[in-house]
Amino acid sequence: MAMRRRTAGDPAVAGQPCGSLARILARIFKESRPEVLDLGPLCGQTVTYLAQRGAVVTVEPFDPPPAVPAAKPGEPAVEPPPLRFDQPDAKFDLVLAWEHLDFMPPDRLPDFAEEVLRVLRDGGWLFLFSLMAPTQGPDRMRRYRLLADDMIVREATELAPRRRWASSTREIERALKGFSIQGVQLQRNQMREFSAHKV
Amino acid sequence: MEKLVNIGQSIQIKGELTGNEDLTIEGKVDGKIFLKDHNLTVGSNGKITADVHAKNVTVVGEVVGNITADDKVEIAETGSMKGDVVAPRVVLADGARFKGSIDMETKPRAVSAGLGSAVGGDAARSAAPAKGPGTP
Repeated sequence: MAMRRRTAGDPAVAGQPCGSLARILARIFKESRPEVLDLGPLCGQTVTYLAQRGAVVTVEPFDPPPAVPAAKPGEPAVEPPPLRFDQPDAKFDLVLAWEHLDFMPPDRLPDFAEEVLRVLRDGGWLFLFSLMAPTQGPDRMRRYRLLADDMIVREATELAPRRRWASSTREIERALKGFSIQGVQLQRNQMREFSAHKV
Repeated sequence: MEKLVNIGQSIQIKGELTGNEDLTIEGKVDGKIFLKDHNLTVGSNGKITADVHAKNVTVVGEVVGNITADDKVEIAETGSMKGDVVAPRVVLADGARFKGSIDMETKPRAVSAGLGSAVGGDAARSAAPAKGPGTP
């Protein structure tokens, strides 16, 4: 389907720039019918925007696992629940994780990265946002509305508030084993924009 | 005036459902639904576990199955869907629950449907299927 791509320069477009995502989209849309996995929270406009551009967009609302309580002295350690997407291996060209890493206990970050690696094709991309520092109290995961390839709006949701861990850049980089981090950009709203490439 | 058919809340159907008129489902349907050139609305009480092919499909209730539409699929804010959607136009409301894939480029596949069973159950008149906003 032919479609004019809007850009941040259009007067009708207002939001925050997301240059890394624009670069990823430019790459994946060089291929015919790229496969995109959106982990939610669902924004219908984002899904249809990408689908109209020619992607096949799969939505799998993902709920970050809670922290596993530390084992009491003398008791066996509690096994964390498995972290798995309901998707086949090596299917996707792009995984949109939005803010999920922020709500993931730091010790589960490697499990998350491993699972994203599993569903990505070789050369596939991971895109996510992360707040620079943890919030003082529980926080709600935001929804991202894609207005143009390089312009996005961060919106409030009614999801249950939960702890926002907001791991450090070093922790996130360490967790993303098997990825080559292509960029970490700090936004004006204190969000970091991560783009990573499966190597 | 075109006939409108409503499958009421107390009606349960298992099997293939085909027809040449618009249909609103408020009951339960398990199987397949084929409404060539017509519209299907899964109402707020409707629960279907079926593959669907219609011209337009509006989901206000619950659907488990794949939907192929020749024109548009709309999942309303209260709607819940688990399955894949193939349609040239798709509207997904932000509050909707959706798990599956969206393909807006592929031309809808031709789905064959048996002619075994016709629309059954309550044939009470109902309001016309809701028309949603255009694709953003």
